[in-house]
Amino acid sequence: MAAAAAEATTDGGGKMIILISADGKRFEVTEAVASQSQLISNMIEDDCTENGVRLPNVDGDILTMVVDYCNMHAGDAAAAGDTMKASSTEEELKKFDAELVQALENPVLFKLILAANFLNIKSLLDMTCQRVADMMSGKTPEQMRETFSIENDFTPEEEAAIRQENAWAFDD
Amino acid sequence: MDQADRRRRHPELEHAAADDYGGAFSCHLPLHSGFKIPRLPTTACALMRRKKTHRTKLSLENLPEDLLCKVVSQLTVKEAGQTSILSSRWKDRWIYHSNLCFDHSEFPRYTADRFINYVNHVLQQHSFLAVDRFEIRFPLQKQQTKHVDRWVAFASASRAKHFVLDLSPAVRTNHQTEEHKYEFPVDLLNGQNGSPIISLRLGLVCLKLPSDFLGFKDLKKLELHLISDLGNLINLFLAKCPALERLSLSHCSMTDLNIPNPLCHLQYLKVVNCCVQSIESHAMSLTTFEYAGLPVPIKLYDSLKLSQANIRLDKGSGNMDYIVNQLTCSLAHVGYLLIKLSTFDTKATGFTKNHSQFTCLRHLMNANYSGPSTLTVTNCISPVVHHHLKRVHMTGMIGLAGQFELAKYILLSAVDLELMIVDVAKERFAHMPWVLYPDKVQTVEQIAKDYLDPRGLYRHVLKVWGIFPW
Repeated sequence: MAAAAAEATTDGGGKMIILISADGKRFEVTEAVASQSQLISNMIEDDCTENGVRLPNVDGDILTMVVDYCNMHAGDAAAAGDTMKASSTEEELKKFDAELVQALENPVLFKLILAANFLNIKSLLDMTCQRVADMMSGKTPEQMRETFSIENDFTPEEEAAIRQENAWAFDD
Repeated sequence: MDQADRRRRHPELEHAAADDYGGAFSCHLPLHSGFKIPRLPTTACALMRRKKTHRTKLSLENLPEDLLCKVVSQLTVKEAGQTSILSSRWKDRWIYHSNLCFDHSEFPRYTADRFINYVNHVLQQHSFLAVDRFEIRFPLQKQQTKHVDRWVAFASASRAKHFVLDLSPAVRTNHQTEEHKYEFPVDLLNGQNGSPIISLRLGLVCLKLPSDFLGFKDLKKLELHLISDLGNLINLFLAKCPALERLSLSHCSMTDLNIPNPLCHLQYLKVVNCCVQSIESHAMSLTTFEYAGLPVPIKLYDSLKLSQANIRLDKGSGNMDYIVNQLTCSLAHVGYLLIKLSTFDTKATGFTKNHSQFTCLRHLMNANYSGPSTLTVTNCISPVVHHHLKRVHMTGMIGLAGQFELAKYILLSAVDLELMIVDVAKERFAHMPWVLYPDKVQTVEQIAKDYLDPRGLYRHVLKVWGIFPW
């Protein structure tokens, strides 16, 4: 089993890539880890990552989270073959994912969404958007406005009219 | 590649360099939600908004339109509809909701008429665009055909990729007679330009194929549930779905199931509680096979990649004989086999006493474990040296002599074993004595340790899990 573990790390190894955040922080990751970003994967294919990849609209603290996420998820495919091992890894991943987004303040969560969208990491984008949806779910419109600082620009009459038009959504 | 060239090939970096989060309004970022929202113009107005975000904190409304629609699509349709009164910018966002799922669990008190009314209202106001998933799960019948037909037409016209029409939620048996069932209009879903459907689930409908059935060329996942009188139709249907990867049939009735050779992508086949006379497959990519029901002839040809099989046989005589004589050649390459025989599950003692069944099992094990790396043993025994068996997990150890003998046999015969877990209490059930009498578990745990490995020779391989497995 020790041999298998060693093999897994060399599998995920290979060439290293340097990601550079807006504030100049550098992150060294393997190609396998970075390729979860479709954007970077395309750049690797085009062979233009040798001087480091500058990501001028991703802050260092956000990129730290993204790199953590990618490191954690790089083993997804490799573990799938081993049923006993995969089940525990899956649980660990779920726990990691939940913890990653749970405690984030709104602006940080939105920055993470934008970063996932820019880097084109589908699973991270899905997860972060789901988090926002979860935060909206079960709330009254008033509570939603409050949670997300949405300014109500309707007059009471306008609001009543929309309620009427979409009555199906407000019925119990 | 020089810097300019690099910028030219990856213009998103060029934008990014001059931009920051506030600039996310200009939708040059990769779009995911699959529909085209008109790009907001880079006008003075947009620039002003951009400036504003430099000063204020990033808020939800600063996200690009396609991402906001993605978020809204992850709410239920009803919740999404409620966002329409948040503000003028939110008023029409929900109409791009991409997951139109109407599930009876959301409407526990709705009558059929009220449910129909609800769905009709939503569909009338919806933009018709961007629908990825369309799901109806509600008990409806033939008398509601007019409405359901319209919904199917909506799904087809909006080019939804995932379609579910399950009129049997929470129904386990096929209690409706054929004449009361809604007849599913296959040709309506299967439009002129070829259907974009990737996954399809139909439940408790009457399925008939038009003579000029075009098939679903992109269909990867097909689930049929509670569909009776399929006859030979299932085979005609499958023949026109060349991309199929997963097929699941539950509580259906048909004559024979014949998976033709052109289904070269089929990896997963599940036939559960169906009334079927025989199963034959020529799917060469098959990796997983699940079957539950009566022992019927099953022939899986060309299934060299088959690695997992899960067989559950209904109560009946001759099960062991059936497994040995019928299944072994089909499952010859399986590395992970789980067999559940209800008679054995309940009467483990009968199993240890019956000698003829023992011999059958030896052959079965012999054939099945020619090259596995993982094995879940449920009430099986293995008589030969195994060079490939690496891991064994035995559950349900309640202290029977036969169980310990089997465990010891595996321990001795699998020469390259890496890990063997003997699970005395972990996967317990509430009605089992060890919940009430934990000391009994400790006794079994101690007996297991003493019997299986008295000298500690296998301590690096053998793990006995008791009440506190760790």
